Amino acid sequence: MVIYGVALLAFSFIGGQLMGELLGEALNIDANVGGVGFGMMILIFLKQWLSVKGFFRESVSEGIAFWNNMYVPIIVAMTATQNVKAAVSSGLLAVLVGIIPVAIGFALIPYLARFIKGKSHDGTGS
Amino acid sequence: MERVVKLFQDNGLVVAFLCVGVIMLFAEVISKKLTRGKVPAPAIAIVAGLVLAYIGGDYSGGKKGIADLPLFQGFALMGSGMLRDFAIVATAMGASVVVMRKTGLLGAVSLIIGILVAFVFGVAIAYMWGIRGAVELTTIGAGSCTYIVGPVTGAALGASSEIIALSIATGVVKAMVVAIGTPIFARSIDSTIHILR
Repeated sequence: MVIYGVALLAFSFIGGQLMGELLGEALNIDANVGGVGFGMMILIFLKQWLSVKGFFRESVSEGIAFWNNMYVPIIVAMTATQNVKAAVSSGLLAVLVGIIPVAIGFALIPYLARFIKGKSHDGTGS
Repeated sequence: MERVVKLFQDNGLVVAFLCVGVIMLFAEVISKKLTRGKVPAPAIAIVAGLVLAYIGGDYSGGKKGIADLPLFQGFALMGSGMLRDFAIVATAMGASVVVMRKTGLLGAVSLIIGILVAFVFGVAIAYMWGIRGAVELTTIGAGSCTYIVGPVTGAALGASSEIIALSIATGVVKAMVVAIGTPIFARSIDSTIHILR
């Protein structure tokens, strides 16, 4: 049933959020630290485990796939409810921060590739 | 007319589904026809979201973008933190441990450096711009990773909607630069590697 997938997703989500709260408390930060990331890891782990056991049926997967596909539309809705009017004056900052780090990242790729190539030639076995 | 407005208000979430669906459709058509697929449809749809938020804020004088207009209140629920995080966790569905292993050391190192470079330089540029608060700097830096990490981080830290909007815009610019730039730069990166050898 589709609801099993939705419930599995809900379990991962809540488990992750709880872990994020615990980590936040442990670090003495008044925020949820990494709750979404933990939730994703729980889901990946559970999916793998249930697949091996043969419980991860098509219908279960559909319950998660729906929300996976709703991700971009939800982000669009979220974007449409932000205080963009107040942010427009700093719009150029968004453009700069969007472009410059990417340019630096592109410039690093050749060095990174060479570094990795050197590593795998060291006989450590890739 | 009054009854129609009330109908829209009472069923806000469904109205938002319809509106966002129409936005996505237009974004897909624009992506395919006008940019020949070079600019991804989600990026165009998010730009449309930013424009709608601006129009809503300009029209109503409020801080919640399009959701300040009674007809479009449902956007606030559809784009709420709860649904957003729920959908983000669901995207882990597509992650495959097998494929992750295949990318190997290069994939892992690239991932970490990619995030570090984006975050560190994002924060540095925002600082030079004059932004000072730790929460604000972190949110902008996270936005320079992706347009998802920005708002999630901002919401977790309690950043203002204005800063979150900036971090989304940052992430969208980045997504566009990467989508357009990668095919162009791929060749020159390839030849640089040959020279370096």
